[in-house]
Amino acid sequence: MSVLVGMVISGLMIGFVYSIYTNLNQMTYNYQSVHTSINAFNIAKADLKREIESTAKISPYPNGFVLEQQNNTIKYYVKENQLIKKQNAAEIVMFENIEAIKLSHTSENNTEALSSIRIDFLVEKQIIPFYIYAINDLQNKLNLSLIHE
Amino acid sequence: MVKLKAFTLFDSLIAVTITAIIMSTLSLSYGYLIDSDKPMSSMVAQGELPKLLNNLKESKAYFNESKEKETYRIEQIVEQYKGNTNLFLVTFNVIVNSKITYSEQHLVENEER
Repeated sequence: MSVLVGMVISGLMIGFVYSIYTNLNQMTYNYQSVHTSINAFNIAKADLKREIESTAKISPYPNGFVLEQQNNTIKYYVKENQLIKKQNAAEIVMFENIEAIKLSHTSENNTEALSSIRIDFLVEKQIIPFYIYAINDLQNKLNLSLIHE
Repeated sequence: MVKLKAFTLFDSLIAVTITAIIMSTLSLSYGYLIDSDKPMSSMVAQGELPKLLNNLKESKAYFNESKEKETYRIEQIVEQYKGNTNLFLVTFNVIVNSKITYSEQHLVENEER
């Protein structure tokens, strides 16, 4: 009888510990997946910010926009919900889940001049917007360089 | 019939105390872990800040404001920068669950003068 009681108690203990282990494992897996998505979003955002800082002109492109730099032209566009960065002949997937990309023009007649760009990143079922505005004055450039100090 | 040994009151007290200490330590750690995690809504609010700054510059509405959304609140504080009437220091505070999760400052030229 005492052996049976011992076995039941041991069984309960093993079951309890196993369920805790399984739950912790699931939580770790979920956390890692969230962490990976946020990391990918931060990398894409940082890349866009860095490239925009050295951009002289931004113009529209089918499903995206073009950054015209001094010696370089970079195209960003959305293809099958992916944000693609095309530089020279190389294409890189910057982010896997883009909900929308919206271009605003300074006037309805002039579709070439952009006033702003909004990119909606879908991170863990949550839409996080990213806005791009023209950096055309010293004040903006100074603010951008001081923001992280 | 096998008889199981009964615990004494003292043994039970020690067992209950140890269990209570373990449980409270675990719940405290869990609480700190949850508290330290910045919610996703804070990231959404951060994404909205460039738009607010641009709207402020375009509208030239240099005053304090608070924008309430479902999961977060953005507080806009406008003050003169070191007494300079030509320059404003604009502070954006992102508040989630009554806690400031992110803060950002910008210098904005007073275009009304």
